[in-house]
Amino acid sequence: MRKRQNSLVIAGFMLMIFIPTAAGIVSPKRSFSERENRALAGLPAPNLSAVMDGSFSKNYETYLADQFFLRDGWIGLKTAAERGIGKQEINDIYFAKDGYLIEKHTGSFQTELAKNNLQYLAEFMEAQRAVYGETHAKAMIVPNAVQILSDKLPAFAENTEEDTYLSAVADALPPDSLIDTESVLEEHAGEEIYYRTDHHWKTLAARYVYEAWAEEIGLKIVPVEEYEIRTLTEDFRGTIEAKVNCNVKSDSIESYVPKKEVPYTLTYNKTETRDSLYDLSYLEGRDKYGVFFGGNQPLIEIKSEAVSERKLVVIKDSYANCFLPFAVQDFSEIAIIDIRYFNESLKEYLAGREFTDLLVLYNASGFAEDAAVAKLTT
Amino acid sequence: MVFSSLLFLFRFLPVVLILYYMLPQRCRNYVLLLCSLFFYAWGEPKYVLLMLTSITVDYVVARQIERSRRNGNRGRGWLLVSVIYNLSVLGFFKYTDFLIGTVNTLFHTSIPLTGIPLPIGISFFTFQTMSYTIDVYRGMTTAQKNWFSYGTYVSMFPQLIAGPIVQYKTIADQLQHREETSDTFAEGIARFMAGLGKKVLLANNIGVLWDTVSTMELGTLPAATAWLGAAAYTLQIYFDFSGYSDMAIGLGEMFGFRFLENFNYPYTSKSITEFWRRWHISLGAWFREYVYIPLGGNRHGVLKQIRNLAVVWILTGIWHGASWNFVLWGIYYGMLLILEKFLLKRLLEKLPGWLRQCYTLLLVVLGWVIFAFDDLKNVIVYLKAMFGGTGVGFADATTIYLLYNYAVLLVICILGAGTLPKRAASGLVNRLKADSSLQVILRLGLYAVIFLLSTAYLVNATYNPFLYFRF
Repeated sequence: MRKRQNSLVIAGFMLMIFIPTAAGIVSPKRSFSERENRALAGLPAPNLSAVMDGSFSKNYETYLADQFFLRDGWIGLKTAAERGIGKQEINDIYFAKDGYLIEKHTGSFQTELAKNNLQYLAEFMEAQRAVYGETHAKAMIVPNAVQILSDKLPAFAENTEEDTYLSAVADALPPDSLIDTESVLEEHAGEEIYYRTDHHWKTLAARYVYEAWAEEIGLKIVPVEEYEIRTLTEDFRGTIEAKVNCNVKSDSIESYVPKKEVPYTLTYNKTETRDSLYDLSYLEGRDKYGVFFGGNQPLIEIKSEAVSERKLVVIKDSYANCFLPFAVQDFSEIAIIDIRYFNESLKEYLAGREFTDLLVLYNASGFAEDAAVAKLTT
Repeated sequence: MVFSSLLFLFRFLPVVLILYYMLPQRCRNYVLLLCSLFFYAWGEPKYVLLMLTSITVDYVVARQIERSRRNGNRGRGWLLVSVIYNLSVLGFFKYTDFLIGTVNTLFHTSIPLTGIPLPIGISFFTFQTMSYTIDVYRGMTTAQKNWFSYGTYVSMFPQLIAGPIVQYKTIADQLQHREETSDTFAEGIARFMAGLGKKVLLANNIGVLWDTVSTMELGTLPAATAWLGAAAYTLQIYFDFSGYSDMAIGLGEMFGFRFLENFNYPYTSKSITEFWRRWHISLGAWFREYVYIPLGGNRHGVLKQIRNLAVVWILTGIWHGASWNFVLWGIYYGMLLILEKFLLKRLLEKLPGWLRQCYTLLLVVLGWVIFAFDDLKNVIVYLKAMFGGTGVGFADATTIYLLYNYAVLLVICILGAGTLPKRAASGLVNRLKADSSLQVILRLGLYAVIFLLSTAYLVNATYNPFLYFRF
């Protein structure tokens, strides 16, 4: 009888180690994870130098984890286990109230990079004020959900790193060059201004900030009543959800469509012409926030028939993508530069064109973590 | 390579099991040797040469000792070759930079560090090979005639990188004549699963709590947070290390080996003396057998005994890592053991059991704080925080937040560190004696839960440290 028991235990164990092994070997490899929105590691080539310096073994283990059979399911299982024992945060993500998943950004704001970026931006703004004038050169470092939705964090969770950083931003920049987006958003903290499952702000938040900015720079804008709010999707599960893979309510994405739209044309990277601010094909995939402009582009130049003398240049990250459609109605020209992918000299680009207004728009954690900010001053 | 990795569970282990059990019996040591060398080479291939050299040196030395003996002398010179070789290897790779750093601080020199990476497991295998030549010299075992069998012993992957320190004489017979039965294999599975769960599910997760606390600003830590962190580290290091030993013993059993136990519920100890009989048993045994007793042990009066204890504990400390905090940690235990032996023993015997256990645990936790920080300044700041020296109050919101995030895990860990799970399991087995199929179902169910959860944690691994890279 004991023999039979042993055989069953041994057989069970063998199944446990051999099934995932075999499945992992025969299952097709993925080069990209839609869910995690990143490239997955492929099988590294075992050449002699890579084996000897240990990089092969490291890459091979990354490959195993990335290509593991039913990877997403395992991530979900881990999340369920952590929630089961009462953890309020997993992988640096708070399970906040009302179904919000909120990133902690632990450590993001305390790096050398984060400190240096402050200086680069301060220098840049100082220089641009001389060119465009104090009222026309502005910067926004938009707080993340962890800062604005602090009431939704789990009980007793304290997170002051972003707050400290935002104060440092305000101190570092020339007076009045920073738009106080924090106060604007805090006033509306009770509304749905951040996605529950994604690291971006919602179009509603962008609108509030747009109005505040317009007032400061003396811009006449199409009032919000002249827009119709459309729901593009109600099935958006964003980047934060991807990291924990758990059962949460999905988000909706809104666009503000002018009732009387002025015609415009977009030129992508000086070559491709488009006629819409939205790329609806993104609604089919997972990266639905990419519906705005089809995701980040090095350079987008827009000519609009808006009745306005003003021409805007924006240096930005993806937070600007749901913000800028408003500007198309109120500026006659807009250039949108994503400095992470922009390979020209910024200085030369700006010098060769007649802009009236300049805006730098980043989200706080993205700004603190972005190595490309240094390009502002070169 | 480490056991708690996808690579080990889903590539290495299946391949080794297939090769080992599919090839004829006479090939088994060769399979183990080759696989073990591969296991060792993974990530740092160069040091395989070091391992092969060590195997060869001690193999030759042991044969020469026996040959000298046949010629009528004891072969002392050959033993010296082995001891000097092993200690030089250990000294060179592990302590050179420590020595240079210390000289630089003392004499304000700036001799550049060598930056040589520490060969993984070097402290374990040099101690094993020394135990072999010393035992051959003392006639407690005979020299292994087959280089491959000896190589199998030294490099055997289950115990290679984090112990237990298996003395050659305890498995000499098993190297030639071992019997792999379904009994030992099934027991090995049970042991391996227990170890895997301890390491991946308990140690890694409670380790996150320690990691969180220890990376906070130590100077403004409230006392309660500091204690919470210290408790987390205490639990992490136990489950990590004993989990590793369990996996080693379990894997050994899968291949027909029986290693001696390495941990025996250390946190249930009622004195520091008892704690060290239950914690890392194979290391304590090694130092007793090859240092303490050869120095004279307790046979030459109290003063000599105290000297011998001091030597053993300074060495024990520094064995754990080339850094002053480990020396201090060794001295700390040396003093506690001397105190207990000569002063506290009587007093302790009068106290109730629970109080003795509290006394022991308190000292052990403080010991781990010394152990945890390389920088002695941090040790002092942290201890100060534990005793309210930071002046920021007893607890703050973060303390409460951490407490309710980790409450369930802490309770599981605390219960798991005692004998309760073992008693519960054997109680259940007794009750189910008649119903063997239910027993099998429960066992397999438990293993499946541990294994699936561990896999999930490894696939999405954010924190899976190897704590013994300094040993």
